Amino acid sequence: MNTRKDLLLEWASERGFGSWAQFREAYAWLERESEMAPWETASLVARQMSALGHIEVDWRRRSWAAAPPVLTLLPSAGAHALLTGGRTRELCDRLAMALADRDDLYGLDPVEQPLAPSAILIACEDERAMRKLASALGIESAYSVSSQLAEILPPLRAYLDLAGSTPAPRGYGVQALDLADLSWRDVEEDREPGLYRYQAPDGRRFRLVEATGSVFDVDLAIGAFAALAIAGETGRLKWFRASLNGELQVPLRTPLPTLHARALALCSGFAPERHGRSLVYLNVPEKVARAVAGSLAQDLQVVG
Amino acid sequence: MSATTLSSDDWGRLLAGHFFRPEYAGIYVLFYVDRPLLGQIASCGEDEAVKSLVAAIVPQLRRRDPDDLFRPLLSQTVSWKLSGGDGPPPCLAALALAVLAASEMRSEGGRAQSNYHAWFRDLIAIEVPDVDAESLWHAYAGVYPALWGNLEWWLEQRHEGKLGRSTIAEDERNTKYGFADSQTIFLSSDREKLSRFFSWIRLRPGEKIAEEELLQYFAIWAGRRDDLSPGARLMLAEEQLEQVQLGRLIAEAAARWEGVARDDEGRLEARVCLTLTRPPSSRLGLAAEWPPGFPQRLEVDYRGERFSLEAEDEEGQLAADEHRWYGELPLPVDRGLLATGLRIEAEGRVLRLSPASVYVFHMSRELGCWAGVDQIRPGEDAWVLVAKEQLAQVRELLERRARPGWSPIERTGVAPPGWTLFREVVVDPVEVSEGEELGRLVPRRSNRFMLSGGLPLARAAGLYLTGGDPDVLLPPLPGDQSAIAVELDGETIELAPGIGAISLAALAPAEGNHAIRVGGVRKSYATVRTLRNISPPSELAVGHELRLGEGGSLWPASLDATSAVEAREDGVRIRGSLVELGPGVPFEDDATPLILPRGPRRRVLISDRPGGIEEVEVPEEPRWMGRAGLACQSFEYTPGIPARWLLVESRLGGTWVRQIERDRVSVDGLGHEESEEDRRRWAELVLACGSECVEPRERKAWERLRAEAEAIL
Repeated sequence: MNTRKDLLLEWASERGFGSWAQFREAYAWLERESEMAPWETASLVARQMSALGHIEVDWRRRSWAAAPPVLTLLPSAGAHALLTGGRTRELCDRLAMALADRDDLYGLDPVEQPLAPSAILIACEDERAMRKLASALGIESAYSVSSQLAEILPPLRAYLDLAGSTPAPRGYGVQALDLADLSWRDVEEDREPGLYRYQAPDGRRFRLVEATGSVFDVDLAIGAFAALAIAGETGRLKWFRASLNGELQVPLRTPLPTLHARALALCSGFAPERHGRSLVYLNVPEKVARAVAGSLAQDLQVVG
Repeated sequence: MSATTLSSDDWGRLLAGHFFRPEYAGIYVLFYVDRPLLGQIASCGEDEAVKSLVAAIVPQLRRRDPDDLFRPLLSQTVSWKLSGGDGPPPCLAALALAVLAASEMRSEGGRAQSNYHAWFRDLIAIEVPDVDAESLWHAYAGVYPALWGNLEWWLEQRHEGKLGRSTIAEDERNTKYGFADSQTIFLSSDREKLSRFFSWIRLRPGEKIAEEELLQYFAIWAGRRDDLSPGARLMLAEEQLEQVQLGRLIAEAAARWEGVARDDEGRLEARVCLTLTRPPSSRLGLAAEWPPGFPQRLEVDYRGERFSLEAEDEEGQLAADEHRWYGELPLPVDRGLLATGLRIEAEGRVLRLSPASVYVFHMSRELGCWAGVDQIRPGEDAWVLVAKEQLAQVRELLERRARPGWSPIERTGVAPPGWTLFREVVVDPVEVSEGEELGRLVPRRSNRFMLSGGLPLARAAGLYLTGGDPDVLLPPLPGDQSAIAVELDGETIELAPGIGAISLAALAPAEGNHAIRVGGVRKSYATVRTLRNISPPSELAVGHELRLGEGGSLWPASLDATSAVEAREDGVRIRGSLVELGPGVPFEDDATPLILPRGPRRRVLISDRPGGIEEVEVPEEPRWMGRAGLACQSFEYTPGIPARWLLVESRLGGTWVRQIERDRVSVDGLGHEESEEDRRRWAELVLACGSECVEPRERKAWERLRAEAEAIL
């Protein structure tokens, strides 16, 4: 493993936690000689790493922490276990040693990803082999984290009920989300129903305005899906039936809430692929796709 | 009063009034006396002023005892001190004469101690032509150090630095004239420029930098200016001793610096910055800093327009990089102002906006809008206002250096005519120069030698992960040098011409301690491959929390992950992929599907109960796995029976039976009633497999099944 994203995860894991500024600086330093697209930002990579269960980010307090390492089986994926969570070099060393000693487990070459650390997968004879390995390493294991998460996703309304209505930052610029193409447009006023994005020194802020005039202090993911739901736009998630499971397509410009993204990303162990204006999550069981869509007040569009 | 009639006390008052004033409170003050200054404060010609000063001193000297010529001055000064030290020291005029000799000597370039001796004697000889040089020097050495000590006492003890602080320093080698010479290193105008030097190296108030390092940066900075005095340049170029003295002076000034600039005349200067307020009504404006030493309310008379600036006195300590501000300046921002800048004198202070053809704005939390900065910050969103004459160069630079996504503002009415505003400009750090005009658009963290970036670990300062060694940011080259010497662990690093930064990670130093030397400045850091933790340190638990609500459903405790998330009895804590269910959460599903091999010709699940058999077909291979380069050698299967055994026929003809772990298999179809035909098929299958097909430890259980099968058949 030697991609820059791998090094980023190793650093995050060895360090354990830190401020968002530290993460951003580490990312900028690692990518200082890279040719990057404008959307290849530290926050995008942090969201990918968070979706894959490697780190957690507290965007409000602008801090992050590496997550505990966990071995989990991917659903309907030929008994492949995924190593998620923090990945210290000591853990990787011990994993390599443990795999060398066993014939019921086979460590695959790490699979590189452009916007996330390499996926570390282990072919297992069965679930027991995975659990024994986790136990030997001193880390946690779970049969299928994606299914576990899918079953406990709260409904969108529950998130809105939490959102306060503090004043939005002013003076730096405000844009409104155009639901037709999910793009942001400069506006002079922010009173019409919809989702607004405000620039601010410590990061963008979002406010959802309902037709009643109620204002919710939300994040982009909750705000965008709530805005879609308010506008009756409930067909934005598409599930393409494939051999065993399927592929879930979500609009590129409406990132999913962290737990929803994680439930989907941990179906394959891979960050979602960018296909045109969509992000595609691989190997998503229909049950998980329906749970994610239902939680976001979307009607899952089943294709095929 | 005519200069010819000035007494020693008169001179003392004039000198004290010029050098030691309440507005210099806490600031290091140089008692720099030269001919122009004497002429200035005595309001006469230079030669006349010098003559007047000498004439004022001579009556106080003990001319009948040349070896003790200055003793009366010391007696008067001691009496003055014992009576409380009110008013200027009575020896101030005599001290001024000593400094004048040093400044005369310095202006002529002479450096030897004997020269000072001659310069001082020549001044005394104006009134005492027959003075004996040797006796004079003896007398000087016996009294002057004590006189300097009394001036220092007066400034530091008697007035506690409220009239300025002492910079009097004894030169270890030139003990006789060193005190006087210490006051001639800089002209007062040099001293005022130190604040700009500190800004140039981005010195934060309270920050500590070693003297030798400061001196190196000062040499670089001074080499880029042409307005420092010859004395200051001489000190940099000449003897090591003077550099030590200069370094000490700069270090002392740096230690006292509060982040406030001064103009060439020593007046406190506040920065005025352009502001850009965005919707509603996007517009340019002006805001002035409220630095220490400025009143909370400042009355301004600018080109006939009178207004007052008022600052809100917010409580609390400012962070090192924070500033306080006056309210908005009621002046229009037009093309004229942008091109010429702004300089307002008010209440003995100066407000200044430097003119530029490129203005850079970042978001300012303090001002609540976009605010002009001296230099773009790396990786941060910026807006850029560009004059027409620089437009082509800026576009070209942004195309080369900025991340895609920037664009000019099409809407009219925001930028004045002849100026263009660019939005969403993000430039990553690049360690190259772009020339004076475009320099603002090239992010440079500092003009100092710094270790920057890398992958620092939290355990100790200066500790990095191997492979994450920091970069070395090099200071700009001194004007007369084409290269700077850089060493890593004693080995010279060859530098390409014009390089501004070195990637140490690219040099792949081994794990351990490292020393990097740039010029004469050394810094160290260490690397470690791993801190030997299996799991990341968990002092900060960031994660999600769901709480049990009415009806047994789970509700989020926050919109997204939060810090210090706790595990609760009636909730779920999620950290990455670790889902921790509290004991009070009714959620349990330990049953999991079976994992069966794809390779064999046949797979049959068998239950302990007669009749329970299920042939398992292999599902289609997931296509995504092939795309990801994964081989699919097994598959998951949820049986329709309470399967206890798995029978496998390999493609080579062999058969084996394996027991299935009973309690962890999910079952789809419990309650299925087996038919007689099922029971017969079950019995035939079980009997077809002898004990040799089963692992020895599972044979006893298999034999019991076979006995039951025999009974059925």
